[in-house]
Amino acid sequence: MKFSKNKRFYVIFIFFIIIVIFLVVYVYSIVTGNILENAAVDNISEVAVHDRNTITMFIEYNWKNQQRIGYRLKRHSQELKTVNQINEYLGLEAYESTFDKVYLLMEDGSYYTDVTYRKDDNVADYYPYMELFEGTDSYKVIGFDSLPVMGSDKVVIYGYRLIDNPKAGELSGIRIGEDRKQVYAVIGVCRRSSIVDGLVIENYVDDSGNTQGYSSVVNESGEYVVDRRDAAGSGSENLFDLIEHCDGSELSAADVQNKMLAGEEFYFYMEKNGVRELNYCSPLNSSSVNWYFIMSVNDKVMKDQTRLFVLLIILAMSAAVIVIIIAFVLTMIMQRRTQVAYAQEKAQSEFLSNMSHEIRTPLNGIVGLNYLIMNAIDAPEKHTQVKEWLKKSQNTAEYLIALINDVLDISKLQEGKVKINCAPTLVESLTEAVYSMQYDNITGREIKFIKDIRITEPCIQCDEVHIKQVLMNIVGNAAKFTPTGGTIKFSVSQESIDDTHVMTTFTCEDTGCGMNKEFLSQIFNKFTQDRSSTSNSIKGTGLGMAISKLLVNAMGGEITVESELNRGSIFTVEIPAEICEIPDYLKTELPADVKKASDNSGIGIKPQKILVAEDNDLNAEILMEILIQFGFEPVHALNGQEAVEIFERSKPNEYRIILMDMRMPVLDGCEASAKIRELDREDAKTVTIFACTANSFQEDRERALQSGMNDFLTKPIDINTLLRKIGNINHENNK
Amino acid sequence: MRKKITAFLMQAIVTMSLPLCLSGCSKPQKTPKEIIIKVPHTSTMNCIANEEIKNVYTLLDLASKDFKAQYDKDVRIKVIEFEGGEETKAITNCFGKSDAADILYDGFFNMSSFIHTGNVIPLDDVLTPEIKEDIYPVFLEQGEFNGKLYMMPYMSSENILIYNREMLEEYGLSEYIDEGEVISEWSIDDWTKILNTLADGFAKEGKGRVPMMMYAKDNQGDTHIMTMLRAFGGDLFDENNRFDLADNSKVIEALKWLQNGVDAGWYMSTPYNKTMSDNSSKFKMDELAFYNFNLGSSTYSRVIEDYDTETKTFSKYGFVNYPGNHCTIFNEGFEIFDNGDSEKIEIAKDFIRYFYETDKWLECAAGSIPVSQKVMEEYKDDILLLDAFSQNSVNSVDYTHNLPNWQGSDTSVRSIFHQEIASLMVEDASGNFAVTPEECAKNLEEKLNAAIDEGEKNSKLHE
Repeated sequence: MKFSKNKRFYVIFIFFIIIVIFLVVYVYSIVTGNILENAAVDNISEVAVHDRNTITMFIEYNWKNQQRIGYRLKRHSQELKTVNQINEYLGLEAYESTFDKVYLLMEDGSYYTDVTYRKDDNVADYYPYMELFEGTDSYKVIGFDSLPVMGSDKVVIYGYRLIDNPKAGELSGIRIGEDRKQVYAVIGVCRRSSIVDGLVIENYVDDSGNTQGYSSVVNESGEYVVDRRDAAGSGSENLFDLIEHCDGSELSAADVQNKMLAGEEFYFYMEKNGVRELNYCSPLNSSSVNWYFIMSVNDKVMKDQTRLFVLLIILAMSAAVIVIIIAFVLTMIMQRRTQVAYAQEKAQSEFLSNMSHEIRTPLNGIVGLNYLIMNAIDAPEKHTQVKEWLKKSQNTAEYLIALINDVLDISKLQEGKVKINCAPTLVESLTEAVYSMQYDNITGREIKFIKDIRITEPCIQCDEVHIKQVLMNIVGNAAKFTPTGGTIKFSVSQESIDDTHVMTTFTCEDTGCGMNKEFLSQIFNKFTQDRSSTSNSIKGTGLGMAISKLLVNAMGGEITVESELNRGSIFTVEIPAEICEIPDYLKTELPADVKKASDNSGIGIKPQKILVAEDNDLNAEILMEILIQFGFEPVHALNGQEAVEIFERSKPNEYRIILMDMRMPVLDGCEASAKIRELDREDAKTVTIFACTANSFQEDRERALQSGMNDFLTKPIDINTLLRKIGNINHENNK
Repeated sequence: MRKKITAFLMQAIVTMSLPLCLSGCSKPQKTPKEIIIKVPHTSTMNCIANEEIKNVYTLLDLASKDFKAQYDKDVRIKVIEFEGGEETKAITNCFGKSDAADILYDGFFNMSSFIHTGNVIPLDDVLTPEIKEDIYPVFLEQGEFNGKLYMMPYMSSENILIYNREMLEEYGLSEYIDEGEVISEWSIDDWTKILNTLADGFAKEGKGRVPMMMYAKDNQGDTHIMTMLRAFGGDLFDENNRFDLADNSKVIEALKWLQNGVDAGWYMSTPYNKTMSDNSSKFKMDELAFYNFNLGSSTYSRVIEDYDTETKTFSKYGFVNYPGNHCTIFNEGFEIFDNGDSEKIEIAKDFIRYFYETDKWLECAAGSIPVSQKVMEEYKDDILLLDAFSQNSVNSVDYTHNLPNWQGSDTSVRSIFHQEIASLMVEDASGNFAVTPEECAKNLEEKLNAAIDEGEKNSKLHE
């Protein structure tokens, strides 16, 4: 994957941004994780305090409930004599209160329930409830795994002492039964499940609805009074034993016990059986017990909460980054397209403006010159001036032709319609032709024009026309941009590629104004012209170099340029080509600098008849006049049909050459040529037919050749080319 | 360009995933499957083969440890006890949760409702030819529904009443006492006389003794109290398996008889607020004359102590059918639940298969009536009252008909029944009952049938 400098910069920039963003996210997630964990602990502490207060209220409520039982007992004590009466009374109390059972513990250790009366007479079902109150003068709460009266149910027993309890007040001294013994305490019995159900922490449930936390209550000895895990059949344990035998605890059993004794609110992590739990410990705010409420929450809950939050942050940040990247990339693409579109629009606008200017200016010049010529044509004293005006008019018209040819060329190149037609070409002749064609132009500007030909292979297979086009453009530019007194060196050299191929290098080195680096980087772009102050006066279509590059590339070659501002430029055109033998027809080729047409002896042209098929009267008149001036005898046909008829009526070999316009009314050039070829006369097969057209597209050329025409001349017809081609024909005929 | 953008975005996503991984990814570890076996805390047993085993929890805990040791897969088996009568909390409310039971051991009358939840899987493939050949067909049939075996029987018990013969003797009722391993059959007049005699005597004593068990605070009464609704004969169900009570004069008469017992002093005071445990405790303290009995009950040890193996007689206790001369037979055994994990189901089946193929676990049923023929053969001489139970089985009544929604929620048959019986027993300070027997019969019929209809409507069997 190749990147331009700009692309590489953008990629590095984006990656840098991404890395920075993710570093920030990573650090943020760690910080946030800690904050969230603390928040989770705070949340747990809030829930714990709520549950703790609920349990505390529940316990306190039960004390009050027992107090109320005590007051009612005091009121009914006189009626309570028999066991049955007391059983029934306690049954009703249990039915009306929050307790499942209500017992009355008597001063001698015997006790009444709603079912029976038991005393310590070695009956297995007797339980010494008096022991519950050892060490306390008021309240007592304790958990039991089973109690005889309650069968196998796990229970919590609330004991409210009436004797020697400073808070009992008037409830002290209640007597019941036939023997009127004192009631020592009211005992309330609750099934533990009724408390446990209230201790499920609904705030911490997983996706399956399972509670991931539970509450417990332990006493000051670490014994579980209430343990949510009872439901698992694990039985009650001692918290301190649990800590000592767990897989790991942040606090030792002694630390936890000390904190409990100090009444601190604290939390610690403990791990057992692969489950890490946070244990939030809070003392019950009860005056009656020194119990601790413990909320245990699976560490997974907090991790899940933290992970979810961090995940959401990361997803949000990632989405933001992706959006930023996509937006950035799209912006870059749009910007790029906009720039390109703007550049193209600007260039085309400039081109159109330039073209408009370029076309209008010479046309104005031609119109003006014609006006001057018409006014001065009859004034002998202005004959010299008229000649000068005519020359300028001709130059201007030629410029117009070059301009239009360039536009056509670029059009064809853009559409890929340029076909490279390789044919044996004499390198020296090609070089000489360019040199000679530019000689007057350059030397006329008082610029030194040097030619240097160093070739090893005189003939190569190449597209002579297109190479000339490129070289003419380069040398022409050099002429334009080289000031008077400067030098242009036009050279050609060759270097062998292999036995059958050679690299031919054309170089045009000038001492002109040179180009700045910015322009140099765009010189081969379309619609590009150097608008620097140095070259402001120079006119051009801006297509020449683009055409040259496209053509050279199409020929498998390469065009390069080196330039230094105010020092000059060096254009190098390298064309790889196959080496070939010089064909016979090239061995007699005329030199490119054809002499004036009037000098017939110089070119060996005999005065002969040429049939000119041209529907445009003006073009016909011009062409015919030129041919007459060069010693030919042209005959004009108004259309193809007339050309066929004239040829048909002519004597054998009367016409050796036909200049056939491609587009004509009645019968076009191709049809006419085909008909001529079909004529039953010998010279119909040998007469040379030149296709003359303003269209220079390859398909026109092919269509012309297919219809039987021999060659192709682009309008306006270059008289030198025409003469050279006629010379070649005559040369062939004379052999 | 598109490729470049795609590649670029992919790199960005990879980069993005890095901190995510850093923040929480860990190598996944395969944890062993955990099988949860639940058993009610009240599932006591009197194992002759292994006297250390006093309840089903211990039996299953030991069996699961042995199973794990010999099993070729790494599994964890957790045996959980739940409080008796709390099947709704321990089973129904846990469906779909991580603490849902994979295996339940319970009485068939408790488990049959779960078949209709669609969560209980058929166990026909657990029943290997050897196991099937060993179990008495009658017990297997009682575990079947729609031709498929859903409840695997382990042991069976016959519910009758035990009485304190000393109390009867004390109050001149010896004529009703049968000696030896006999289950007495008394008429309703006999019952009335016995209860009234005892009630009068106890009332005069003022020691808190009462003749007859009665409880309506918990839902255990469907087995025992409901059977007493047949005291005057007749079935409780019509031909459509619905309760036929409202216009059933015999049922109304039975309700009236039971209600009269409140004022007659047959029961402990406030019977609507008494549990089965209250009655059990009262009986054990020799303050209650009649209480439930079966070979798995907690009074079994006292009965054994009272049993003279030489004379095959009892000195303190006697046995009698429920008023109306009925008894009930109930099986206990296993169900397997589908909790959405086929691997756990297979492990649970392997456990049940292992349990029934291992003699030392199978023979623990002896003490109660084992469903295994080979265990029965080995221990038949050691099983208390076996012949009496066998002969008395003709008096058994089908009290659940395997109907849906029998239990499992607050609107199930068991829950409704004890609440309505509680209403029957409640009287105000003037001695007026909250409902008449006719009203009670009507309420029972309406509410119980509605519960069954609801159960049938929601019934779906495991596919």
